[in-house]
Amino acid sequence: MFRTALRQSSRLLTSSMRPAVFTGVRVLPSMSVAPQMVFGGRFYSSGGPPSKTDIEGRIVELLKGFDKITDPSKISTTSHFSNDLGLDSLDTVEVVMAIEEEFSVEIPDKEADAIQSVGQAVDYIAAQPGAV
Amino acid sequence: MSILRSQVLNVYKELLYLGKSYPLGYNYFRTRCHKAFSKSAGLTKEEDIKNAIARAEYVKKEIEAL
Repeated sequence: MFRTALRQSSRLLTSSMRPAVFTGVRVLPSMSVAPQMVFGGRFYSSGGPPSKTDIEGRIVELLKGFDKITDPSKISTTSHFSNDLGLDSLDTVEVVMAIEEEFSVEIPDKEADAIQSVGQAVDYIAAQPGAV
Repeated sequence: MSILRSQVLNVYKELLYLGKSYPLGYNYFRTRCHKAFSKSAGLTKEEDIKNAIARAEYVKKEIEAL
């Protein structure tokens, strides 16, 4: 009895499924006409790594958004994090982390430690082939 | 640069990464964490600094458990 019930229900299912499949096929072509391409990285044919002025601009922009810098007018491409901007070593870690995120690179601890000014950060990013 | 200093900065960095998903927001976490770290910035004895690092490691586990 269970088997017949199963058979009946499966027959019901397939018969009711079929039109759905057909409509599905009918809908699909219109979707495949304009395929949406989502890609979260840099296309290597799209102009290469950012230029040095571009990097400078982005880092300065990033620092402007950093709430611990009391005097945003002091931010320039040559400013030193602790001497000019009044950041301590912990803030510097945060800035370097933000730079890592901005350019999608990973900076090893040793190099991250050496970055103490905007100029050094720009030089480091410019030397990274994977910077976005 | 001393090993201890890099250890401190490293644990700070790891805490910040963990704090990105903190319930009260990253900024809340960041200011609190910064304050906690700068409170023990004056430590000079190696023993004290090691204890502070151990505490940071403990807090790290606490945040992971959230």
